[in-house]
Amino acid sequence: MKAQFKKFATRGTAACALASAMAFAAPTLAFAAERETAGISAILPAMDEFIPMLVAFLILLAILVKFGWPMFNGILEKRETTIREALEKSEQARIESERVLAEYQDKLIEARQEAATIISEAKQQAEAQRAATTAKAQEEAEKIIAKAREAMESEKTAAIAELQASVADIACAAMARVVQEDFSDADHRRLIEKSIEEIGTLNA
Amino acid sequence: MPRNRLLIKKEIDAYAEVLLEMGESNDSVYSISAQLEEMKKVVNMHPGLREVLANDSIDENTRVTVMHEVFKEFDVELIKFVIFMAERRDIALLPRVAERYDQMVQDKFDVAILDVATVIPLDDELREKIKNKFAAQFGKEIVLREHVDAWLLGGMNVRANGRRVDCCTATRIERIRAELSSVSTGGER
Amino acid sequence: MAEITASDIDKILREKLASLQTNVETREFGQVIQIGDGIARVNGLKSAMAGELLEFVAHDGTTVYGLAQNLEEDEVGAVLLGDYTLIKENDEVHTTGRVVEVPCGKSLLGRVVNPLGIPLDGKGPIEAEGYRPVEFRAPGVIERQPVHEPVQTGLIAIDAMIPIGRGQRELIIGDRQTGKTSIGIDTIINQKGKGMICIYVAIGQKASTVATVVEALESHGALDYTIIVSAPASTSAPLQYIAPMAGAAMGEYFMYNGDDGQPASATNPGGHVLCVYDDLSKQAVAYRQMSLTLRRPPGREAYPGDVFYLHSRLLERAVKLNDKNGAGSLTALPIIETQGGDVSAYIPTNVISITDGQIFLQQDLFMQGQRPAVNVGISVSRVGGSAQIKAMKQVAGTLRLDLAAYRELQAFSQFGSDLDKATQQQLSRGARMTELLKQGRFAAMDVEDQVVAIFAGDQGFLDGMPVSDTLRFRDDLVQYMHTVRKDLKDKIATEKQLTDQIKEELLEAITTFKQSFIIAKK
Repeated sequence: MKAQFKKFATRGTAACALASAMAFAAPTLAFAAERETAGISAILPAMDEFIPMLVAFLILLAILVKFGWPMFNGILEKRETTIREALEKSEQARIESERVLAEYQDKLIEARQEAATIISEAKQQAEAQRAATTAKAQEEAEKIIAKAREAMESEKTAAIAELQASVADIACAAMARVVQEDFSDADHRRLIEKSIEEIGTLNA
Repeated sequence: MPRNRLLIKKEIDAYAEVLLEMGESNDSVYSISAQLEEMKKVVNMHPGLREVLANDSIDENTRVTVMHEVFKEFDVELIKFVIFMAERRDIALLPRVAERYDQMVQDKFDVAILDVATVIPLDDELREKIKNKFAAQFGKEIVLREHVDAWLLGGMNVRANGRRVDCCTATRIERIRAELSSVSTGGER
Repeated sequence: MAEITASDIDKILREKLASLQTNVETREFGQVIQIGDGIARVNGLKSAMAGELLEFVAHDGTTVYGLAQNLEEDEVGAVLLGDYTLIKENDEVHTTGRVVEVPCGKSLLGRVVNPLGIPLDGKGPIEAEGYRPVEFRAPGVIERQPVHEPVQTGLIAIDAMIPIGRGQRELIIGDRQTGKTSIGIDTIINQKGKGMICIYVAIGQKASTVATVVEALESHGALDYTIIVSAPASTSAPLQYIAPMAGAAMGEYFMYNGDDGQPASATNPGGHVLCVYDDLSKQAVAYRQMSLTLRRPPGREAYPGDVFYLHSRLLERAVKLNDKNGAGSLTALPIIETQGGDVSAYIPTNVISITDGQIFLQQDLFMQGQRPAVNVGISVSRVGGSAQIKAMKQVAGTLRLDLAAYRELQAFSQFGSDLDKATQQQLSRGARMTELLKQGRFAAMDVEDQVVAIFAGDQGFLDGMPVSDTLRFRDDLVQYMHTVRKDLKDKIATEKQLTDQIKEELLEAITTFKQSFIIAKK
């Protein structure tokens, strides 16, 4: 890099030398012209001013070439990288924002889906519960009917039993009364004799 | 007053022996047996009577009179005996004494005492039939204690040694009634 | 429909008359010497057996049954089972030649009967399939096999930590008003559809309490497989005394016979029965009264000497029969009421030592809102562990120890507030697990649901949430598993254990549920 720069500088110096040579050549022409036409000499530098000014110019040039150029060059380079970096950064930001956007969109879809599942699950739950409730109500209604039937049936049985018992009671009471009132001693004797025959063993 | 059951047993034996001696001397062994049976029932049924009997503050004559009132045709000696038992606070033993007495009589005279309950009083022919029937079973002479009980409606009940044959019409009717009014069908015991 | 025609009755009476037998029989008889306090002294009856049923005939012909208890030289001490005011001195007494028997069979199901099997519910007469003696010798060692099937109570606290097996005797003990009866009733209700016959024996309770129980059972459809033996406080002491035995006898019928009513065998499996005796302390009191009026010598707390034998022979009838005998079972849940939490009284110590474990209910827990108020620290089940399904064993294995550690920490943490993170973690987990065990009445849970709930708690799903949300989380989770993830629930039910795959699916399901739970809450 330095070598390149030196080469560059040398080339610059050569160019300057050429220019000054041309400048030295030109005044001779100018002097000639002044001599010919006074008007032109007004804009041509005087030779005694011209030489120091040229020297000063050359010195300045040298100084500038030596110190100013690199500085200027550096500033340029710096600017160039800054701009490039800024460009890169903006590019990255763009990509990032695109990615984030996509992500958000994905999440949104996912959330929608989730909401849909939750809703469908809730619906499913509600449906199941409704079915269960209906079934339960149905079952209960049937049970109540069955129970009522059962109660009716048992009431009927109980009524029959009661009636049967009272019929038996009345019949037996009548029987007892007949025996008590209408049996003669002879009848009783007969009964006793019959009992004696029927009686089994007493001495176990 | 809890006492030794062997002592109580001895006491019962003593009471029964006294009664037996009494019966033998008066020649009323079987009538005492029948009266004891009746007395046992009445005394058991009426706690008030038990109290009167056991009450020392009432003098003996009054108590004897009360007992006479209750048991009109009973043996005087027997009534006195029961009052004596009551005074000794042994009235609760009366059923056991009666039982022991019967046992002693049956052992001593080799007889079997049968309680026969009927609606009409027995005549000799029926008595003979009953005695014949059971003499074969027991292998002993049979002594009948007769009871007349209108509740039986007809037929008769015979008891001996804590067992009974119930042949009376009342029981039969009751059994028919129970059978007719019972409802349960299935199931076996 | 319910017409009664004269021909109906005519037919019945004619049938009966045709089959009438009026043969004469010789019977032994005795006479009542003394009667009072439901006790009769009878002379005669020399051949009476101990425990034989005696027939007392009142003047008006009604028959009252009695139980021969004291056999003495020339008299018998008997307790009367019916209305003893009808019987007077000199009334006749007959021996019957049989011991006390109760009617048995399917027709008793859904009925309320007294300890003699007489219906009390006005639903008409009962046609018994057979009769069984109330006193029955328990099967011996050879006929039994170890308990290995569970009885699901539907209560997490019990099914997870104090499991009960078919054929076990598990005591429920606690002061009054601690929910002893509720546990019994909830257990009966939870047997719906599990092929169990339940027998609830109410001894010495208020008739209104019994009515409430009947009502509860009926409204939950549990009456169809339940027999209620009721001996309320107004019944005589002897009836209260035989009530649990009568209940056991009714249960034994189902255990010793197959579904067809034929004796159970290897090819004819016997039934499974659950008996709740509510409560045995009142039976002991009734027995004490009976014994004292029979003048048997009193022992500790005035109970007769054989009160231990009374309870041990009753509870020994709880059994798991071996396969040769039909593999039926009779599970007993006796209940004992303590006074002021005193378990060292005579009857509680007796019954604790007889049973295979106890469920201890405590008043202060009940007051704190921990219901069922089971103190899991001192409640044990000595044999039920082998009856738990594997899935439950897996999740509940450490629960008991964790809760014990939690209680210990809780006692400590009441002193200081600076606790390290681990301790705080343990405390908050413990609080949530304790909360998880709470259950209302008639809110039984299937064992799979219990497994899921405990699993969720165990895996820390409850940790982030407030304690007050625990119950709602649990109930909603159960609901979720019933509706949305029924497949998973069924899988647990069929596999009966948590395989790694089920665990994974379960974790995922609970995670999903928790998300929607949190969203729903917001």
